[in-house]
Amino acid sequence: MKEPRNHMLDALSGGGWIILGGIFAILSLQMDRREHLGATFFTAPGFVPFMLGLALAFFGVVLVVRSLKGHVPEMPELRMEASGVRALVALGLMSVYALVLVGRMPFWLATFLFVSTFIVTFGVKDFRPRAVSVLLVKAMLTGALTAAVVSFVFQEVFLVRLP
Amino acid sequence: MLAAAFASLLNWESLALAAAACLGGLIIGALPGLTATMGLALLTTMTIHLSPTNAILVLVCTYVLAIYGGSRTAILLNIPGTPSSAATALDGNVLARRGMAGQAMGMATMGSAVGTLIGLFLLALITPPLGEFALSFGAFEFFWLALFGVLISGNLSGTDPVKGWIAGILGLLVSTIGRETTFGVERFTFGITELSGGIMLLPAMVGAFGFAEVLHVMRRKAKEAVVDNSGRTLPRFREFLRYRWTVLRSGILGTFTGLLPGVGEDVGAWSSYAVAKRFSKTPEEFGKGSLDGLVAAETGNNASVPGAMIPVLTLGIPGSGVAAVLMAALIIHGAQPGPLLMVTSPQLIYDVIAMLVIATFGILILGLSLTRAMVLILRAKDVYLMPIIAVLCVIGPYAIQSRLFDIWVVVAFGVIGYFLRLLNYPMAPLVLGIVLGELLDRNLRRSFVLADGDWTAFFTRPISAVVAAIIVLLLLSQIPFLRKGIGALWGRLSRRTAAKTES
Repeated sequence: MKEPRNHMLDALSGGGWIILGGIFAILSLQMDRREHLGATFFTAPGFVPFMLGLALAFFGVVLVVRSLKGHVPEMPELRMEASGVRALVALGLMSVYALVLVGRMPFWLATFLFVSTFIVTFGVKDFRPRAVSVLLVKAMLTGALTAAVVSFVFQEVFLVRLP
Repeated sequence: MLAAAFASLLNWESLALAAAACLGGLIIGALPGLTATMGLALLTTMTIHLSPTNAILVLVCTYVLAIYGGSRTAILLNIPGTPSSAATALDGNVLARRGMAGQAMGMATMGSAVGTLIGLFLLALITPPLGEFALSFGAFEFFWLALFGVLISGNLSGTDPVKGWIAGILGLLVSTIGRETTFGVERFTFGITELSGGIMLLPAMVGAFGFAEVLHVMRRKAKEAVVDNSGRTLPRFREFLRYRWTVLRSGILGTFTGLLPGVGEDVGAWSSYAVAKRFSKTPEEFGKGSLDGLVAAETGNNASVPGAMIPVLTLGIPGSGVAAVLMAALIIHGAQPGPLLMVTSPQLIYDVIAMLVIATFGILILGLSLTRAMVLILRAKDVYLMPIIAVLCVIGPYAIQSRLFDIWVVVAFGVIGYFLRLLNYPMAPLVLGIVLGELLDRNLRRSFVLADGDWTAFFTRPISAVVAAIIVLLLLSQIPFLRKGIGALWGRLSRRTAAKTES
């Protein structure tokens, strides 16, 4: 596997922190200071986020400078044998479930659809009809069982009005 | 008071819940991808409708057993079930491959149980006087302690302190979102009504530890094969007694490591392992199947659990990421951990001690009996387990306030957590930042009011001055040329001392 250019990633994330810290600092300075209520610069609502924004930007600069000097940081997660595509597919499925399905249809149905689809998507390795059928049955059973148990526990035991 | 604590817990309902929580904690800890922090965050959402005592009992038992449960996977799979079992894997898996899995699990069980007992003994010893001492803390001290907690966590929870500090600052910034308490000004809400109340800790935590963890598990390739050679699990008393000094040393070291804000169970295990190697007569066996190393790591990480609870109870500052979740749960259930605990509800300390004793029995009973069953559980495939965890990550935080907004927070923090972890940013300081942000903000501004704008007051009070000095040293120690200079100075001094001794 090709070694990722970690120091460039660090420089990029450092740049991101500088921008984010700067935004927080500027927005903090623009906050209502409540001076008519006796607040000073140090006790105004924006003081702490202003300082934190500066600190974030400062450490962003440290990351950038360190990277430009050739420091190669450890990123074990990027070096391990893994598939970013699998993670992205999982993220897509989970986001659709959490942000689209839940709240727009009965919770049990959303859960059943999500769990079954997830298992089929990641579980399929053998495309022969019999293997696919077995996987489909297992996926639907797991989906149905999860939907039933989670709905029952949260709705009937914890008395939560499900979305 | 301890008798009253046991009396309140020794009923069928509490014991049944404790047994279920111990089993659940063991499974959570053992399954790679389910960490103690994630398990506790999810369970906090599920225990919301229990009585406060039973809810805290469930969480304490889950916490202890999850830290212990990680040893199972470390020994059988060479994958630490929780980060705190990484040191256990070094020797545990070598022993398992030699056909000594049962012996390794038995010794790990005994080490964990005794480690928890040493930790709870020290908790009982330290907490009341520390609580009394904490009563003398004012706004200045609390500001410094909150800052110290976030920085030390950033320093020690990952491999890159700068990234740890960035994660901590990010957490502190997240905590400033919403309506602040002094003047009622809305900060960074951008007109979004749901943000007025701020980002709730639990959805953020479930996102950063749960949702992100599912993505990480799905990203990696298949699990390794489970070693299935359990053998005799019950260790012989004489055999365990051989490691008594390792256990005692690791128990004390683990507890004090846990006590440091934000340091956590994994550092407890590694430091105990390193010290055991230093004192061992056979240090060359460490990493090649040393029972001494295995016992040290397991005693150290479990002793850190009561240790991490000490600052939660006395200062309101968590000793680890898991302890941060526990602290949030205590607050949700009406307890007010912190200096006033000794005044408002001193009984809670004794309740926690009694709960830890019950959890220790859980380790011994389940740990020594469920060896075969755990092998079967470890064979569960990620592809079936992870979608169920994802469902719980979504519905658990929603159940607290029935707000769809909390689900969005879970997804947002899950995505942020996933990418930050890829870039080697630790998550524990982020969570500690969210927990301690309000304490830091309130006390920093209150201190300025008390000092009438005079910033020197932050350095003139004795406790403040000590904590401030430690923070400055912590930051300076990461500046390369200073670190090299201190290293050179230390080397020169050591050489001079050695030369004097020889002459």
